[in-house]
Amino acid sequence: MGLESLFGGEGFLTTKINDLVNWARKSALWPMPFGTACCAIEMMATFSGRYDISRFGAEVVRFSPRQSDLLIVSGRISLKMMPVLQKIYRQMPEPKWVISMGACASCGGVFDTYTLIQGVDQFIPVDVYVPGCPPRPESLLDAVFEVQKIVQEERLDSGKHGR
Amino acid sequence: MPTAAVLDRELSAGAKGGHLKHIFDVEREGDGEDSQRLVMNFGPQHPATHGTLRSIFTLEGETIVEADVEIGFLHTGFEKLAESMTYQQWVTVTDRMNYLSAINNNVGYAVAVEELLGIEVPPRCQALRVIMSELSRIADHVLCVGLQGMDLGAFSVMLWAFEKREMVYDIIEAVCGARLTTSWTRIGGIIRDVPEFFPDLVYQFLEEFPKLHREIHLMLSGNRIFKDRVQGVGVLTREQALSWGVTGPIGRASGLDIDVRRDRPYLGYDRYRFAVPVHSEGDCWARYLQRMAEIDQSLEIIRQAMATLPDGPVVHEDFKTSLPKKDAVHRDMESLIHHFKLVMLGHGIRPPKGAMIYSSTEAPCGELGFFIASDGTDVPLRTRIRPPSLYNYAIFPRLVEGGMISDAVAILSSFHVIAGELDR
Amino acid sequence: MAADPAPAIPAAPGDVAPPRHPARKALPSPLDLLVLGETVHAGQHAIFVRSPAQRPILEHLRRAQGFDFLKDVTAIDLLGRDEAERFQVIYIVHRLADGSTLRVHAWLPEEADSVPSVFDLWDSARWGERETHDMFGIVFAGNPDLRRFLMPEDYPAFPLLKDYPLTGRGERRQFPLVRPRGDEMVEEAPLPYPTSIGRGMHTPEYIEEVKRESKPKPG
Repeated sequence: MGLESLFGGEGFLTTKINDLVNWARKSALWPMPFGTACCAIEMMATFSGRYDISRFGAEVVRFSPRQSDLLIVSGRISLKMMPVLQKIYRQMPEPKWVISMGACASCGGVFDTYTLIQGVDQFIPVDVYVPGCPPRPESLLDAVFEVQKIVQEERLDSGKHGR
Repeated sequence: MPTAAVLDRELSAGAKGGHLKHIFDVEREGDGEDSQRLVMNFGPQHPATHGTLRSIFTLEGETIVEADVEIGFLHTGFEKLAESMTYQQWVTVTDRMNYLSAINNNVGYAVAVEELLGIEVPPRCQALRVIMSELSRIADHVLCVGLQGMDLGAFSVMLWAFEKREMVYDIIEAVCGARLTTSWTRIGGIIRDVPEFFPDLVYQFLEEFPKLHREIHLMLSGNRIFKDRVQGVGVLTREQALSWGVTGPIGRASGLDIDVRRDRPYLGYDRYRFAVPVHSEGDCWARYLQRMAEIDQSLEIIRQAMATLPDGPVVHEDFKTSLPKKDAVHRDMESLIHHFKLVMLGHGIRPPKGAMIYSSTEAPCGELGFFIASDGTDVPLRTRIRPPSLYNYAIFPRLVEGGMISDAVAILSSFHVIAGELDR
Repeated sequence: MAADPAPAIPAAPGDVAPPRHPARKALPSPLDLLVLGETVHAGQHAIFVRSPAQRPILEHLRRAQGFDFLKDVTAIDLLGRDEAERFQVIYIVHRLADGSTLRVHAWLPEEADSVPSVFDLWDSARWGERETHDMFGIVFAGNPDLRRFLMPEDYPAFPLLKDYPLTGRGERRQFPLVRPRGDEMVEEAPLPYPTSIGRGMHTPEYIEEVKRESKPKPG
């Protein structure tokens, strides 16, 4: 990303710009809902009228990975689905963050079987985990707040999101 | 622009597991320099595929000349899990099948095991199970209609549908403790009786829901755009439906008059007077009207069940199969022993060796069947789920061939295939 | 399990022979001779045959007796249970006109090549048999599409067999860890399992530490 390369060192101006960029990023996190199972229904409820997620900036829910920054993995990920998840993750441009929603995505949940991935964090990096089976919409909103806190505290020259 | 090398790397990384191989490797007829055919992948990550369904279309222009589907992206091994969980423990797994109407799955499984054991639940439990199943069915149908609207562009209908689903969630949460994954039934009854304010909740719902029903009708039924997109699209004949095993609203919209609640009544459904709507055109329009009509009938059943709700226990009184009340377990020795025997592994519910049963109930998607075989221990030998979505979805490739991609979207959303139930 | 002196599946309850299902009574005698037995439980009838005898019987049920709805095709694996054969393939057929249902169980030995398919009688058998093949490895001869279904195409085993463990044989760990590094996505070895919950717990070292700490301190 071009912005990071402009920052060589610490300074009053650079920290202010850092804060500004982080504020802009966290206030408009565009989710990429990777919904597979029951958690996807609670995620859809979070996107809907009663637990509106767009009040917090996550308005643009378009199912295109190229146009999103927050991957929400909701639901159980099976053997066949894991390559698809990795492909979608690769297709998302930087900066990107990942929420692993629900017990199945975080650790395999109730299903310790031959076909279910016991936690997507073995194979893609995860920023926030949301416990629950399925988590209430309020929990998912709390996870978005956690991601926003993570985004606010990032340093643009940390190299986390590429060059 | 990504270079050829980067593209190659991306594609080969995504082809791990081999399941994408046949897209890129296969030689299709007419694959020449001047061929107009394109092989397009539709899903499993796509806004219009409800759940993780994947279709592979061979297109000539926008017309689909060949369609193939691939499922299994949500396969979890429920049936294998059942071979290491007791009968009572497996109820939690049934929630996760048709996650839009978890109560219907819980009830279906409980009815199956109770039939296997030959026990009957008390009338109050039957009526409560009926009320909650019908509420869950309404939630499922209204969401299906909402998604059907959303896929064809009417986004507001989906938001309204979710708002009314939240009303049903409030009732379900008050009764079961959870919004979605309820695990409400136990073998021989339900967890506990409903709270005192349950009738108020249900009557309030019965008063407010018909207004939304009318709103959706106003929005979609007279809508020229919606009608043009769904009328005459994806016609399924009655003979096809019968031969392919299609049940539920999809079958009834094609004239196949099967309803397990009427044909093989369970939980006292024969005490309620309700009609089974049937349409004959078999297109997406008929399926939409079918679901709207079934919501009306479900409301009617709930009204009758609430009016005739009997008092009494909610758990079958024979504690050889049903858990006693928890406060009795803490106070009285016999209940403690019954509880211990039911919960400890090796004891518990043990149907006779060699007993097998196929029991079906009417889930919102169709006929949900459980085939349970017992070997005399507290863990079943085989639990087979007969998923309505599997047999409903089998005919999908045939229906989309010859149509356009936009018609495929309309057909898929009217089919309302739930991947959790399809793949188990 | 101790060896059971009573006869194994099918077991006729009591001394009285169970009443026959009307569809079985209507079978012509050459087909009726193929039926090994019939059981009734909770009002549901099941007839037992030896594969491939279920094919002519199902054909008769479909064409001559009007059983026009095949509800399900499935199988049971009876490995290690001292039964007649290893598999039972089960067909559940239903007649719409009067609502009668019958289950046909076909005993199938492990070394059998295949089972005749019934996809030409009922189209619902196409996917029912495909799934039974995917889960048990039973080949349905004649079924036009017997690819792997719920499992990936190159999956090395058939999951619902009793000798396949519930947690599998490591197939669910065969993926790389995909991480951004610099300008690129790199693939590395996956993180050790279990990752999120339970990492570092219940290792032998931790258990030793707990034992040490829970001993009463001297003095």
